[in-house]
Amino acid sequence: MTDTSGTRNTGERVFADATQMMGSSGEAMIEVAGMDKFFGSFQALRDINMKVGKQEVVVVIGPSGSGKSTLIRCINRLEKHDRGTIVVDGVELGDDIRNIQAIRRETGMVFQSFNLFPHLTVLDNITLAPRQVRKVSKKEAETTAMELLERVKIPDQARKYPGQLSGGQQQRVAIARSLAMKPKVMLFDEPTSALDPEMIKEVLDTMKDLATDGMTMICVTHEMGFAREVADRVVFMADGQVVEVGTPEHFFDDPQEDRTKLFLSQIL
Amino acid sequence: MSTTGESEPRIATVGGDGSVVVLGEDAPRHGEQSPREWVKTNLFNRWYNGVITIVLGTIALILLALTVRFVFVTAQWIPVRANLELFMIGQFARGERTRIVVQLLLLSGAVGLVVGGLRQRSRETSRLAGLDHVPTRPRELVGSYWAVVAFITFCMVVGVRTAGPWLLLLACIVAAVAGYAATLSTTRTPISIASWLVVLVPLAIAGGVLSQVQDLNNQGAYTIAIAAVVLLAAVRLVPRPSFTLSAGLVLGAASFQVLSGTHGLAWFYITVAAMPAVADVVGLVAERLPVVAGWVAAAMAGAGVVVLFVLTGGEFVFQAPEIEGPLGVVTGPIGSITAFLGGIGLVVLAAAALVGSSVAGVARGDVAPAVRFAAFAVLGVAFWAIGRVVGLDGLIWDSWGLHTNLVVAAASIILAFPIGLLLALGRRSSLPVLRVLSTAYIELIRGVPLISLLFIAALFLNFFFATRTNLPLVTRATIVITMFSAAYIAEIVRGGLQSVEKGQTEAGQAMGMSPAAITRLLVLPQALKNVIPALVGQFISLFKDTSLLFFITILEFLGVRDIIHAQSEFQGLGIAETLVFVAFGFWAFSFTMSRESQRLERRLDVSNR
Amino acid sequence: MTDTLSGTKPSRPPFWRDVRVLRVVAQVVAAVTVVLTVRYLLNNLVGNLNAVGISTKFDFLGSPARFPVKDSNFSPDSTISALIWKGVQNTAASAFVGIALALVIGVVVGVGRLSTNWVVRKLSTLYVETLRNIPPLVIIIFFGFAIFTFGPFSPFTPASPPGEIKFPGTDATLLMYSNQRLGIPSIATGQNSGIFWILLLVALVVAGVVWRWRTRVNIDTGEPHRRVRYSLATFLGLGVVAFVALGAPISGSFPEVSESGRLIVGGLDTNNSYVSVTIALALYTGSHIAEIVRGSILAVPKGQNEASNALALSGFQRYRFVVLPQAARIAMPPTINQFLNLTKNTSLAAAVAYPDLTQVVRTAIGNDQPSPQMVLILMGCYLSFSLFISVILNVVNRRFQLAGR
Repeated sequence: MTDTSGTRNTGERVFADATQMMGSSGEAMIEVAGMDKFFGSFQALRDINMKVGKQEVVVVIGPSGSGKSTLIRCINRLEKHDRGTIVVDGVELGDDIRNIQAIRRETGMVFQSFNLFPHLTVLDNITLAPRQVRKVSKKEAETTAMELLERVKIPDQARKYPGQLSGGQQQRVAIARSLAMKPKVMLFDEPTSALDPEMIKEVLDTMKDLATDGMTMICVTHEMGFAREVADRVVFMADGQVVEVGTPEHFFDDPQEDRTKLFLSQIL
Repeated sequence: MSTTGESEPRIATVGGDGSVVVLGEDAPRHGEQSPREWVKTNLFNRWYNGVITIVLGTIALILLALTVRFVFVTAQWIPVRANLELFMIGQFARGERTRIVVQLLLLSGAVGLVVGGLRQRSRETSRLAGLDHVPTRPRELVGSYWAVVAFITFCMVVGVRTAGPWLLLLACIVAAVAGYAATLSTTRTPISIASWLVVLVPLAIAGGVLSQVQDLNNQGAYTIAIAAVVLLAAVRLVPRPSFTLSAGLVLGAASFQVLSGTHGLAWFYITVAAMPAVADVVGLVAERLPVVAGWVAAAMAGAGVVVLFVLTGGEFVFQAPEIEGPLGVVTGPIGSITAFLGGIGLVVLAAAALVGSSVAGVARGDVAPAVRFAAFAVLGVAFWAIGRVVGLDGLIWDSWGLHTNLVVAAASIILAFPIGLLLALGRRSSLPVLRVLSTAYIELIRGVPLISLLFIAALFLNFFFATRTNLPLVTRATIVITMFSAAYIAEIVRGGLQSVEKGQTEAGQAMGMSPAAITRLLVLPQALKNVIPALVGQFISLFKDTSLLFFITILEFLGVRDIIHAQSEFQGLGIAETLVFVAFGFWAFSFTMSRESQRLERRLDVSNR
Repeated sequence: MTDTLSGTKPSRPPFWRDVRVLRVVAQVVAAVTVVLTVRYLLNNLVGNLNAVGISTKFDFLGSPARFPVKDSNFSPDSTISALIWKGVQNTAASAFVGIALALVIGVVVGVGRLSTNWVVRKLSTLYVETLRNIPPLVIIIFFGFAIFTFGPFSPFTPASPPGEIKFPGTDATLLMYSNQRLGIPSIATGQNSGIFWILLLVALVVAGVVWRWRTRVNIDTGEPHRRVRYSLATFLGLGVVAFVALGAPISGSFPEVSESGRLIVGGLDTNNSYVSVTIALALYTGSHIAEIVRGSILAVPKGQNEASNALALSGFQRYRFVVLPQAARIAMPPTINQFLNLTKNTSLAAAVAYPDLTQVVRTAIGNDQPSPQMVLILMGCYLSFSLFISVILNVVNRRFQLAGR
């Protein structure tokens, strides 16, 4: 829990509008306005309006197919949005190739299926992007990588290949890999869904540490415990729309919308 | 042991008669059961299997007896024996024989280096990752190489009556061992020092002997011998994988150049071969260099490119191109295209591209590309100069029997690979025009037989180029075989690209890597590793396809027969024998390669665990 | 807070950084480069052809070929287009029979490689490892010269008649062989044969109806359908009735040596070059298909067998309903690809002078027909074959693959 949550709980609750930030500074890191996304004729996202403040942790939940993953994949342009604007750290995401690369550099992403590079060692996985994109020297990149591996508590695995690690270890390497780019925002796309139960905790702990350190995060997850404990705000999505937004306390204990109540009753 | 084995997971199949039987993935082994049980399970497990065993076994024994009788008693090997040299090197100029000797020695050295380098690398990777290193079992090697060994032995026993070929074989083995030994670790133990002597002494002797040989000029022989020794010493003293790789590539390229001369684009191939080591060294020092050095390097790169184009490119632009050797394939089209673009324009364009990317790098604070290009330019000029000093003229390399088959196949696959790679990337591109163009080329080529392309090569390929370009027949054939193979390689590589998960690309994108970097560093390494066996398969089929050169009167392995049976003494004599010999030759190489690719596949499987 | 939002209208970047513009530019550059290069090459070609006085038109197609085609009624006066059509027919004849043989060989040997019988396994392996590593051209030449022309068979002259194999106990020839020509029995048509063929067709339709009826019975009642037995009996019964009723409308025709002693009359006869090409390619392609068959059977996951065992299916049922359908699905595309390869490889027939498409084009070029146009036609024909086979492949793929996924 961040230190400011107590004051924010008294704030006004805004439903179906995620533009009210709860970050401490009041500055927006990510602004999404009027965004639509189509896959062919299927509308995956419908008029999404959302703001994420600096150092804010937003957890996005919702039934499968509700567009949660598509939303965060649009934020770093893994999917191209069709209407509306996305602004990340003051940079507008559009057809400008320079802006796309700039936003991707500042945004870390952790995938459900880890997507580690199987042909590279753990160390090379982590140093690749800093070396290629940020042109960091090899020595510096490796020092940073080892620090990050310490932070995710697997420094002894540096020379191994991803295939030799457990799922939880792989996901922690993936987190370290994203952090090596020194991102301002971290996007988590169901980071624990592909893990065995006993490994989920180690990954969630790493994410909690990150949140405590003040990282701006958007997490798509099914871990309600995590949402309740760490999130500044919870966003509930269904059918490509934001249905309800609130602090974890309000959201879990006193949901307003019927869709939300139904969803919570099914999973809790 | 139960023959139906319902209790354990097994694979159902059909028996020889179409009935259903079940068997383990591996047939039951000798070691697990008594011979009596083995015979019962494998030969007489059902009444009908007993009948099949007896009938087929009898037929097999009769065939075996007939084969043995044919090979050792009735066959008339005289046409083969009398013309073995014709089969192997065709009508290779008598005065130039030494070149083949040098080529084989260099190639053997290169093979030794590459094998040693691969072993070194896999051991190192295993050690760091804490995996068990699985050494190659001798049995596996025997399983692959017995075919080629049998073919060589057959040739030696049937056809060789002098000591020369035996000595050559021995020298090749020594060269291969020397190359291999150079990659062994550099600890100063007595064994290591002894192996060091094994490397240098024979090479020094070989250099001395070569310099006395008349038909390869002295400078050429000296240069080659010295270069080989220097390379092996470099590999020995700098135990970096990049050095081993570069040394192997340089020796391999040099072994081509011994035949195709040191003019033309020889400098280019050698320089490219040296680049892995150069890039490695540049990577080590680039970070400590000041930005000024980057500007100097960029200037050098630009100047070097201009100099090289004036020195060698000018030959193609302003004079009738001198087309030599298998890799002269590149020079023909380049000559035409250069003329098309107006010569100078291309020079300016290339220089601008190199200087531009160097400058862009330096401006970003990354001097490495500039230094790499500068090194390329400097080395290129140096190798060009060495080539001029050596001044070895090229040979037209058609009508060389089996040698032609091997060289055409190797040159075509090497040249086709980059083209195929680009076509595959084009076919997978998100840009519709690139996709359509690549797909059209691939499907067009794959839809027609190779022979129709060879007709083009033989009849009117020259007409496609400017009139002054007059490529030799075998070069034209190599061009069309390259075009042909590129389409098939493209399809293989495309399969590999498809096998790489989409998440790999997304992970790269999410970290802000450029599309080119994602392709080069993430997608291609995985894709190509997955398709190595298929690429070997394509090489085998390409090697077999070189027999089609027969149709356009190039004297390759199969075509040699026509010359032999045109001689009055062998007219109608030993028709089957010469054919069996040719089939044996093709079979031995193809079989060994396919076995090796299977072995590779198994090893890759293991390392993918 | 909404006032800080930058609106829903995205701003346009400068064109040199605009992804959409860059995409269009890249494609235009690629297209222009290719078009210019091709144009340059074609201009060169036409210019050079004109310079040496070779026609660049296609009007030669109507002129006479001026040479005969082996083993055919093709006269030297016929046109070049007729010649090409003849070549296409010969290519098709070789490819069609070759494909059928290769499929049979491939399936038998491929299955043999997985047999429990050690002898069968080893012989199949020997066959595959030998044949697929030898160039098909060498195999064709081996058959053409080592087995036929210079081989052990007798020559075909009045002094030395061809060898014959008779049907046991009769005078009818099953196979007539020499180093030049071969003959096998065929069907000779007599009176009413046209009606007989129609009746056979009707019998086939009736058999089909019976098949559906038995299937229906099986579905409705669960009793064994035995549809193969029922349908076959229907077809054969009707066929025999028609044969007898029409008074033997067809009969066997058997090869015999002609009066001149140089030809075969009766039956179906052919020259050794056709046999060499077809059998050599069938053997070569068969070895490749065998590997596909083996690989496909092994590719069926082990779990499928375990699941079948768990359902207590018998060995036959497991193979018929679980393994075979899956293996066939895996094997289908590469096998059809091999058919395409075989078709293209018939172009090697020129080595034994079989007048296939490639050989007649080669001969025509040798007879001063313009080579660029002839080769273009040659490539066009093979492209149509390839297209035809890929269309079949796609249809088959759609039917087989979609059902399973």
